[in-house]
Order: sequence, then structure tokens, then C-alpha cells
Amino acid sequence: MKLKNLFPFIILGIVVLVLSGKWGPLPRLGSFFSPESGWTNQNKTENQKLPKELKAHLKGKANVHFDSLGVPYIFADLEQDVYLLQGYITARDRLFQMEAATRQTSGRLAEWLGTRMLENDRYFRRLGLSEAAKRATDLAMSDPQTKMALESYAKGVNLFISNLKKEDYPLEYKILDVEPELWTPEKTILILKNITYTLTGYFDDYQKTNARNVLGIEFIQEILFKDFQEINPIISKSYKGKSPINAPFDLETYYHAKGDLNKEFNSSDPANGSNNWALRASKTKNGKPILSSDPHLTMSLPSIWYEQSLNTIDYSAHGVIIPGSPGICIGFTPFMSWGVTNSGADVADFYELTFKDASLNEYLHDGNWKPVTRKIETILVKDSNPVIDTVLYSHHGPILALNAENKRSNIPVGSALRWIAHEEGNELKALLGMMKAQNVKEYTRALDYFEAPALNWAFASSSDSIGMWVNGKLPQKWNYQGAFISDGSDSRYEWQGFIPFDELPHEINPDRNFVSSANQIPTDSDYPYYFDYKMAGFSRPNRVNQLLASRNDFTVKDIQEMQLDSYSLLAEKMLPIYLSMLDDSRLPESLLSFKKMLEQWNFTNDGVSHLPTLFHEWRKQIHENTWDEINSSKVLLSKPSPDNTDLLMINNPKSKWFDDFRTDSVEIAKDIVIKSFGEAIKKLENQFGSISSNWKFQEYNRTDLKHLAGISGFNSGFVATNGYSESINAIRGNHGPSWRMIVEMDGWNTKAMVTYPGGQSGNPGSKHYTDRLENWRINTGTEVQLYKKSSDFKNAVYSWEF
Amino acid sequence: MSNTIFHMSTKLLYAMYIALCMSFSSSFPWWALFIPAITSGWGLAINKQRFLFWNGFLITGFIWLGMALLNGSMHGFDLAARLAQTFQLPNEILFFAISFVVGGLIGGSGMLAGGAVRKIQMNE
Repeated sequence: MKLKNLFPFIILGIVVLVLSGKWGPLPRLGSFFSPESGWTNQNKTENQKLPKELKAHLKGKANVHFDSLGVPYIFADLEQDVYLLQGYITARDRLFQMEAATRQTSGRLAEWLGTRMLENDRYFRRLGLSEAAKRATDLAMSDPQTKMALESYAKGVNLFISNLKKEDYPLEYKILDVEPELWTPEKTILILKNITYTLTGYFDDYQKTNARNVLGIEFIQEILFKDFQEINPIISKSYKGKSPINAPFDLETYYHAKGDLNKEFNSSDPANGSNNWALRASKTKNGKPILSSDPHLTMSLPSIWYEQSLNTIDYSAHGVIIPGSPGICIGFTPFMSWGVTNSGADVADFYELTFKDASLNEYLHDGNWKPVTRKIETILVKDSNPVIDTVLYSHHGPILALNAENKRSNIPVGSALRWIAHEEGNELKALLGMMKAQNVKEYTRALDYFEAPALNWAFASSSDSIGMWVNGKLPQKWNYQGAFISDGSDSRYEWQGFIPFDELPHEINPDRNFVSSANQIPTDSDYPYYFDYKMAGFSRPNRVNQLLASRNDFTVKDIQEMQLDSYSLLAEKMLPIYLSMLDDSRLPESLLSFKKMLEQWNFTNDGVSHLPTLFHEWRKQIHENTWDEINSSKVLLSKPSPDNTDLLMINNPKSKWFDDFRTDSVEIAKDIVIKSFGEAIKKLENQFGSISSNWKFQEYNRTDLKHLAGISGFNSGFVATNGYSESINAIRGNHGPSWRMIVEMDGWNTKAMVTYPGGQSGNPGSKHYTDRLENWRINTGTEVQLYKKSSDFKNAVYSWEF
Repeated sequence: MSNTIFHMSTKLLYAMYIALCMSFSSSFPWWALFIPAITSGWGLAINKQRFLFWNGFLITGFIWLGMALLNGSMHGFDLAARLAQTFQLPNEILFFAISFVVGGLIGGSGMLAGGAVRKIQMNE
């Protein structure tokens, strides 16, 4: 046979190789472009066919209606069938998101994505969330109700996965070339742990410790821990408590950690936050209580929330939950409605350990040597060998870094982490209980089970009770306890138990007839327990309260507008102060017109205006220029918030902190303000061009929702928004109101206006991927209600009858 | 006369390939398409040897392209645009062009190999 005759077979071989192989980040070309199994399979709305395979697994009568947005209304005689259907439908719409979140939390992303995720996985393994999830799963599985919910939900998810043909895998699986894994109750618990990580997993003890060492105690007391006097705490009543614990140490005598120093910076942004409020009937036009909730989180695609209506004999509830968990997290029933904001309390503390010797087998504790325990973590890595990591634990918790190599900048070496996420709690029991609660008493009884993360829960009942409970397992601490790295060998630094539920900050039906929270300080300073918190400044909470107090005839429409309120109390207060320091005589001619422009601003963070852009860039430059000593420090230091800087400017404009240590002259606040004004304008000109009307705030504060796995084509693209972090409409880039809900409580006639940025489907080829985005942007909302029985639902686009 | 029969069978073979290509493409994994491609290549090989690759390439490529476009016309072209952006292609037209090429390579190389089998048989 001639060699030439073999040529066609060689070509055939090459074609097979090229089309079936995995080349870099590209999907496998053959299957990805094949009409049978390729991307076109996802270019459609969700599968609407009745899943017959469920029938054999449902124990009672059940049916599901889907509305025009793809929101499922699940009706089942038995509660377990509700969760089975919820699991199945959520997996149909959001499988990739569910699995990605569990893999992130348990440090298993390298198994999908290879060595580039290894350090991330190692970090998450050392955080110990998997271990904590195992213990919390055992607890949840020992309770018959949560066991039933977890198992039914997992069964539903798995029925979907096991009937899913490879050609119908969600696109992300095809692009990453991975297979879905079966669901377990533990994965649901991992999802709940992930919430605790998101809301409390910013560790700043290290920076604060350095700041105390380098910048001094005065800096901590007078700047870092200082708030505007006028800030309204969440709870309106005044406290007259005395802490049951005496502080064994003060700022001077607090343990001085010996750990290493590092200069890179990486921390949570104190501008993150949410709003919720509730009005009693006397404050509303229709004489019905109204509850509003708009939790601010990173807005990604698919959306962080999944909406559904769950109905069984025991309850009827409508609302959202993080995909991967049964039940409802924020929502309403005929009796109750509720919403949450993050409390921001410090529930993560580092303890520096004194090891006996280099073997790291024992550490000192109250004069005794205690054994270090070790846990082996095996991290599977795609296309590479598994990596073994040994995680060391003291009785406080895991040690996140044993040496400076590969550690995150804010993690102290040789310190153990005591963190609320490691506690066993049965949060699911709380979520399921809330749906069944028929009055405030039953509701708060369910709430007590919700231990982590600590949240500010606003609630309203149809019988005209409203309330706010700063709820969660919050450690009892003495002043400044846990603000810095503590001494792991001294038990006086350890958490002294937890604040009892009834003593947590709360109020029901206060005199002002409304409750509200916007991530601010929970109470006045006489509350007996110490919170080290770092959250919102005065602007947003005070604006909420200002508007709520202003009238007594609120309608749902008013509240919708209020959620979009972009007014800045911060600008109202600070801009005149900044401007007063801007002497015309010291300003170049070219900048005078900018000053005149700003004098005309109405303090509203309007997306099409260029004035908020100028104000915020100016404020940013003032802040950065003030903290030159921190920005140029070789040591990672806690940086004050821009609010702290403003406060310093008001209280002490000649403070030494305004001096630029790089110059010979002595600068005061005024010099910084003038210098920053010119720098801000220059920066904006470089970024947006010299015509100031082109500096639109919606471009400066640009919203473009990102796909959660970073697949760029699956992003939303530019969304024109108003607002900023200090406004009620706290949109800052891609962070903002991830769900907007306004409920008018009226028993079975309760109605709500709801919306969120994105859509029900996680499939970028579905019309439900971003079909709610515009509705969310202008907050028109979709009216939803409750149904006593399945046949009352008339607007189904399609239904499943089992 | 025999010439006519011969031509008819060529047309028939093409028609059969088009039908099989459409049904295989939509119901079986992509590599199963080699079965009709190789078989048709074998059947057509008698006097089309030189053009076998391009015949298979064009027919299959157009069928894959057509199926992708049909899907797009039914459900919209947003997803194609999103994917094109993800893979850093300037526009979705190129994304459809890849569909054409991938399908074409399968059909073309399959027919070519089928033809080669026939040739080896005839030489023996």
C-alpha cells in the first residue's frame, strides 16, 4: 500500500483529535458546536415538560404553576414534597450556581479548574468551613423537621441531575468540561455557611493590631472607632445597661502580637450594606402595615436569589432564598413578612499561639501545654497530582497561616481563628419555622434558631405588629475585645459566652411606629455589651429615618420610590464644608467654574449628572491624600473610612494626620481639600475627557453585572443606575440592592411588589436570564400575592400536575 | 443508459447523505456522523475522488450552519453573541462560521477517508 493512500486517514485522525481534545480554556469543539449536544441546546427557555420521573417520588398530591417570569408556585399536600419540588426546580434553573458555591466554600474548585484555584482552595480548607458544615449537618439531621427538608431537597436536586442528559448540561459545565455532582444535605449546609463567610468573613484584626502599634492608641480611639454623633442607631430606645463582664485589659495593656508584617492590602469594604424597614398601619395610607427589604450584596448573574412560592397545609410563603437551600430566607406569608440586613458585628477573632517548640505539637494555654490537633486535607487538582495540606487546630479554631509564604495579607501567621462560622447552628430550622409562624411570638421563637450570620431582622405582621431584632449568636465581649490579635495563651481573651436572645438589641412596636436598619450601629453607647462593628455611616440610616418620620400616609408606591432615593445626606453635610475651605484666591482660574458647578448641586446621586462624580472623586482624593502615611506604609494598616476622615476634618481640621509627611511644610485639612480638588478634576479629565458634562455618574459608578464564574459574555453589559453607597439606593458599581421587596400585610390578601437584578434562569440562553433587569433598574416591581389553593392561581404560563 | 443510472445513484447517495447527516447531527454525538460520511465517501468514490473532501465539507458545514441559524431564528441570537464575546471573537457571525467549519471538517474528513477505503479496495 502506498503511503499516499494513508493520507486521508491521517487527516481523519487529526480532525478527531482536534475536535475531541480540550485546548486551553476552549470547550471541546466537536461536542460544543454539535447540533445534538452543543451550545444551541441552551439557546431556549427552560424545559417546560412535566417531569414524569418525579411522580413516583412524591408522596402526596402536588402541582406547580410557573408565571411569566418563570417563578414557580409550588403546591403540595405534604411539606416534604414541597422541598423535593423546590430542589428539582431550583436545580433545573440554577444547578451550576449551586454547585459552584459549595465548591468554593469547601475548597474544591481546583478539582474543576486546575492549579490556578489551588491557593484559593487551600485558603478555604484552612477556614474550616467544610468541617463546620459537617458538624452543622449532624445537628440538622438530628432534628426530624430539618432532616426531612434537607433530604427531600437533596432528592429533588438529584432527581434532576440523574435525569439530565449530557447534551443538556448547563453551558458552564460544557465550557469548563466538568460533570455535575450529586447533591447532599451537607451541601445545603455549605450554602448556608457560605452566607456566613460572605457577611462575616472579612478579617481585620491584623490590620488593626498593626495600626495600634504604628499609629498609636489615639488613632484607634479618636479616628478609627469614631462615628458621627448624629447617627441614628437601629434600635430607637435608650439603654441603661452595665456590662456583666469587666474588661481585664484596656487599649494600652491589650496583648501586643508578635506576628510578622506585610504590606499588601485586602479587606472588606465598609461601604457594603442593606436596608430594611417596617411601618405600622398608622403610618400608611391604606391602614395596613408595610415591610420593605432590599439587601445589598454583590449583584452577579445569575442572581444571588431565587424566587418561589411554597404552599402546603402548614403554610403559604412567597419570597427568595439562596439556590441550594430549601425554604425561604426573605419573604412573606399571610401572617408575617420579614427582611434582613447584615449586622456587621465582629464575630471573627485571631489568637496568637505560643508553641512549645518547632514541632508545633503543643501550645500554651493558662499555664498548661495543650495538644495541637491536625487535619489532613486532600485537594484534588484537575490535570495534576492531588495536594495534601495539613491544617492545625487549637481549641480556638484553625490556624490559617503557618508561615508568610502564600498567605493572604490580612492573615496573621501562627494565629488560630475563632469564628462564628465554626459554631454549630441549625439556621434552616429558623427559616422553616418563620414560614409557619402565625404571630410575632411564634416568629421570634423561630428566629432564635438563626445563629449565624448575625442579621438585623425587620418583620411585620398582618395584625399590625412590627419589630426589629439584631439577631444571631453574638459573643459577649469586653471593650475592644477581639479588635486586635489576642493572646491565645490567656483565657481572659476568649469569648465569654453569647448574648442571650432576649438581651439582643430589639424593639417591637416602638413609639415612632416604624423600625428600620441600614447596617449602622445597633444601639446607643449604653447597651451593656460591646460590638466591634464596621459598617454604614450616618447618611443612609438617617435618610431612611428622616423619610419614614416625615409622613403618615405611605403607599407601596411611595416605598418603591423611597427604595430608589438617591439623596446624599453625606453630601448635604460635607460639601458645604469642603467648599468653604476652597478659597477662590488659591484656586487656578480654570478650576473656579467647577467650584461654581458644585455649589449648584442638589446632593442627589443622579446617574446622568456629572456633579456627584466630581463630589465623590474629590472626597476620594481628600481621603487618600489624608492617609498618605497609611497608603505608603510597608505595614498593612487599618485605614479609616471616608466617614472617619470627614469627622476628623470637622472635629480637628488642624490634626497632624492632614499633614503630608513628604513635604517640609505643615498641611492642614484646608490644604488637602484644595490640593485634592485639582487632582480630582485632573483624574476625571484623564478618564472621561475634558468636557465635564461627559462625566456622567452612571459611567463613574458603572454597573455591569458579572457572571459568577467570570465568563465575560454572560455579563449583563452596562446598566444605567442612580445612587451610591451613602444613599438609600446604595448601588456602588456591581454592589447594591440584590432583591427589592415591599409587602403590604393583609392576611390572605397580602400583596407584594418584588424585583431583582437578573432573572430566574441561570441559563444565559434563556429569556429569563436577565428579563427582570430593567424592571429592577427602575423598580417598577412585579405584584405577587398568596394563593389559598392551587386552583386559585390563574396566570400560569405552564403548569405541572402530579 | 448506464450513465443515467450511475448519475441517479450519485444523486441518491447525496440525498441519503444529506438526510442522514441531518438526523445524525441532531440525535447522535458528533463523532457518529463519521458513519454516514465514511459510507457515503465510499459510495461516491468511484469518480469523485478529488472532490470528496470538499463535497463532504460543504454539505455538512452548511447543514450545521443551517441548524445553528435555525435555532437562532427560533430563540434569538443573543446567546451566540454572548459566546462570541466570551471566546473573544469580534462578532457572532464568526461564531456561526466555526459551526460551519467544525461540521465541515467532520463531513469532509469522513468522506475523504471513505473514498480512500474504496481506492485501497479497488487497487487490491
